[in-house]
Amino acid sequence: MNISINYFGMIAESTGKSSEKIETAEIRTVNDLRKELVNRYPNLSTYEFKIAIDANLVEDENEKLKPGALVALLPPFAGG
Amino acid sequence: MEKKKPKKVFVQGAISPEKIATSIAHHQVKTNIGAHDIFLGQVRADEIDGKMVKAIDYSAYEEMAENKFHEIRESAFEKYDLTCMHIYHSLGEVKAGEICLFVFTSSKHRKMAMDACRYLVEEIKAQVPVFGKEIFEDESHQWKVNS
Repeated sequence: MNISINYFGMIAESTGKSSEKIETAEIRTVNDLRKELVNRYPNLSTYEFKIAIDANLVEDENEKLKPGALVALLPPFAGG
Repeated sequence: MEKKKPKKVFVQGAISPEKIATSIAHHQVKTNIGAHDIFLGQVRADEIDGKMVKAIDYSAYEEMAENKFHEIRESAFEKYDLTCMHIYHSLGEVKAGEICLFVFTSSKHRKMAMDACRYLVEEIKAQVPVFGKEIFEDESHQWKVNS
């Protein structure tokens, strides 16, 4: 499965990149993806972040990922 | 109607006092308005561990943020009897003392304008994916988190 990922704020700083595409057969759910990313970037385990799919926040990380999903890792908001 | 038109919220850099004054002036022709309320967010020169914040560098997940701003606008128009509403938020660097958020609500009477303004500010802070890097005078930084 092909997934595009965007990183923001302190998360982008931690991973050292603002976006990437990953291809994996292992990932089925949003939670699988979270685990995979923390595995790739161990520093992420020290940050709090939410996940958005196609610009909508994921409520339940057991949600299945669809091929081509646009994923975003969002650290705490700081607007205003 | 103004409320159905998607509006661009983000502006590059600080929001100038002149922009705010011009925005107020534009409403003088709307004589059904009896009350405005305005919220201005200003970058604070916090001292953290002996270092002063000199600016905040704002970034956003812009596509999602514009959608959220639109949803928040629509819900404010549903909840409150407003004549019009304007929201501007900075992206990029805003120096301490400069304005980074401008929320402007107008209604026939003060209560609607004031309640809507507060509602908008709270929703923006909680729901819109904007990120702020606090830059210190020695060029080091930390990431701001809304309380």
